[in-house]
Amino acid sequence: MDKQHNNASLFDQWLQRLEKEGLTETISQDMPEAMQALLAVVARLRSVPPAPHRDSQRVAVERAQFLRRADLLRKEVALEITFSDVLEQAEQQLAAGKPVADIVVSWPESRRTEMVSALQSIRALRESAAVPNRSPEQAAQGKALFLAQAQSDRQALLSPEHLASSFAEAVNRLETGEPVEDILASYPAPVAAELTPMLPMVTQLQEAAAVPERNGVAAYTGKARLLAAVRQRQRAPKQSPWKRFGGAWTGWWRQIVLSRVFASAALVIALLLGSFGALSVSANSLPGDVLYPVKRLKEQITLLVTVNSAERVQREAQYARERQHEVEQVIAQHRSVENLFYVGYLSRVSDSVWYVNGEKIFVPADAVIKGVPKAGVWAEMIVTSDQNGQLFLRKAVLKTKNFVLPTPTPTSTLTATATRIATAAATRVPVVVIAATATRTPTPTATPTATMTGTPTATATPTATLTATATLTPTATPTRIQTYAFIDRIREMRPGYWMVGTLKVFIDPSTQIEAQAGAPVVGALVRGDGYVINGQVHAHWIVVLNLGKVHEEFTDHIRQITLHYWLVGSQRVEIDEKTQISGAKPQVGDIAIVKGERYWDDRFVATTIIVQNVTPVEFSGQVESINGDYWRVMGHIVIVTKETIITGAPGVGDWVDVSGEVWGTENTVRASQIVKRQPPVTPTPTATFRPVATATPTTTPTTTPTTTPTTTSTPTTVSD
Amino acid sequence: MVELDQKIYEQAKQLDVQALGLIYDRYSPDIYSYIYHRVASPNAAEDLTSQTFMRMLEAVRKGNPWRTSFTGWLFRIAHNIVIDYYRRHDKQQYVNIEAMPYLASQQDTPDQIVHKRLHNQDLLAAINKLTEEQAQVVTLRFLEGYSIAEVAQIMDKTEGAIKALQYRAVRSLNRILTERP
Repeated sequence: MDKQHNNASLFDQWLQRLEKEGLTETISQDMPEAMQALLAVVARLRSVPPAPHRDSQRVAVERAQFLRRADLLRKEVALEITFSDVLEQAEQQLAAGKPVADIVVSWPESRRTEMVSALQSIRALRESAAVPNRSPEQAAQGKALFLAQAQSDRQALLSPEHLASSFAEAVNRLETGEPVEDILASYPAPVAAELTPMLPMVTQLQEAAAVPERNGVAAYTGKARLLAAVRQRQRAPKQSPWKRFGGAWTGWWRQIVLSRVFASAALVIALLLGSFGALSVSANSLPGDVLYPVKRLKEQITLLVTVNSAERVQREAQYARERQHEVEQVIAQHRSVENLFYVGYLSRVSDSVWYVNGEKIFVPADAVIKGVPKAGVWAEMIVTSDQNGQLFLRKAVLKTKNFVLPTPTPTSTLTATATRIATAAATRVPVVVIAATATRTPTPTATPTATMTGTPTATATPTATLTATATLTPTATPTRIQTYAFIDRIREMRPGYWMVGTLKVFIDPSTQIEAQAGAPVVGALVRGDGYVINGQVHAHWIVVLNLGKVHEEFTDHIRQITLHYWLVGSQRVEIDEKTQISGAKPQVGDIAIVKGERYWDDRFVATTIIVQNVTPVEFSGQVESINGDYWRVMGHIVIVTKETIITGAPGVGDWVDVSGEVWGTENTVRASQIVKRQPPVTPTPTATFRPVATATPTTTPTTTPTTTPTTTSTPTTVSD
Repeated sequence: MVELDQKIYEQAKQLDVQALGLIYDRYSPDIYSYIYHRVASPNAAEDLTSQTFMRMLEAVRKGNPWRTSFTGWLFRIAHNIVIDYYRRHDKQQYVNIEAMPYLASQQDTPDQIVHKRLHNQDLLAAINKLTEEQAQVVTLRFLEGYSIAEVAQIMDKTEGAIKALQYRAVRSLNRILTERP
């Protein structure tokens, strides 16, 4: 750790020195070899050019949209407050019996309709909330039904079968390191009461009979490991399964064991007879399936009746592989399953994503994690899978295992009480199943038999080699299915497929469509990806980036006026019957503030146009910021164009004289000239913003000049 | 890192349009540049920059604005948006060669331009293989040119932690680049 720290500081020192002095001969001679390689990487990073210049018009549009949204939200907040205040008053008046018509009179006319409908809704709610009296017979009948149901639920909960499976499950959870209290809290009270005396006893028994790292041992299927494990088990104090439970041989527990013996006898018979009952059908079931608990119970029973310890270890390993296989299947089939157990070594870790066995697991902020996540640690996890085949962590217990090789084979200790999420059924796609199963064939990893000795605790953990694996990308699956990414406009929407640009993209119920900008329509810009099957692209995911039209606003001089379109600046603006034109009588040379929609084929159709006569202005002030072509001078936005003459190379903080014309709003000026000037002797913080004396009378009264003459109005002769 | 007057941030919390305008002017180029260097596509960078500011408004509207440093908070939003973007895409797949930045030089022949693009493509693909935190540090430190102290503020970590992270990130990057066939 200290060495890491020293190296990090050393690296930073070299970096700083290099930045300060540049690469001189002395530096390159002094520099350790290890640093040279790293600093070369930094040099390469630094050589990446800056982001390309942004289109200033787009920036202005984005800015305007952002501010409009902000303004809308602000009004919304203000409105919510006043609305709820007024509503509260009105509600009180209404409750006091005042007629709606009388209450309404006191409100501003613009809000009346809205308020009346709100009040009517409240009154309707009140009326519907009135409850008719129940007859005593009905009430009694309801109560009896309720109690009968409760009784039968309780009996079902306390049935030997249910208690047996709950107990088996609780024991498995105990083995994953989950605290007794947490386990008990997750069961209904009557079951918890039955389990309470049993679980601590199990812990004690496990401690007494524990083989060091048995779970891990079970995870290895190599013959030597298996035999070593068997030998260890044999060395462990032998106890008959009956003796282990000692004094608890009473009550329900006795019933369970008896029923398990019974069940195992039944199982043997079923297997002998080649029965096609639930037990054999359940063999292929997956977490979330109805028969899955049956499968797990069958395994539990089989383990319980396996007395031979070698056989038992073998079975445990077999079930472990089965668990792994199940999880792979669940992911491959894109099933939504909650409470899926998953185990493996973390190969790569960041705040929000872990990689385990090559699977990406998202780590939400509310995930419960015990232990420190880092590459190389063993993780036993409860995860939720969703219909996109993504895994989300819910709980994890992280352990540093004393094994030399992190082979990603799980242990048998985990059990899943998986509940299938209801929506999953409709979204399963055969396409994805084929694709995913093909890529997820578990690669059998060679298990070096020699490394497993009888004393696994003595093997040192070479953490250094484990962390080194952190840079390995788990995506190294060579037989990856071909995917196809696309971005273009929707030209056509047909049942089953869309034309995106010139690409035919097949859409099916599994296609995830993200209506980021709105529901997809022809003309909308979409981005997505899909799988290529038989040369056809089947969309997996599509996001609607925009709807093929954007609201835009701009201001420029009117250059041409015709019946159907105007030329404003260099933009052809289409006028239709909905376009509202206001302000001065439009003439070529006037300023037009245009709002409208720009369509994907670059047509621009105006919704409103406000025409203003040209109003020259000049003012002085301090430059507050310069952002491309937009300057801020004393609170005013100054637009700089190619024609603007700038003298004296003014920068932020300098004083300037600005002359130009009012551009759209009172606050914005398109500059024809900006001249740097000396700061005033007594800096007046208020900008004077006045039309030039020769200006033609303006239609915007807001630009009325401040009549107070200031020293800033004298034109300066300093030009440089 | 130039910060605005504290009053402006307070006004922005009240959704004051003028203050938000100043904030947009001050931060949008930085956020755009950061996102651009992570996704290497001007269009995607514009989209994600816009999303960053919209998400900022949503947070303020819902009463979850920044507590201490606005800059750090905004960069974290941008960072999360980049992560979301990549969650929906396979990182390697989305390194778009046409959109890759390259060192434009008048003397470059088309061959040289392609070569430089590939060179930078390797680099970006390598950055995307780092852990999220490492990728963030590399981008902020070396592509955006922030100091250790500034990166510490943005990422809400100590300077020591950033130094360590920076070292690990460059070391990993070196390994990834040299491992490449």
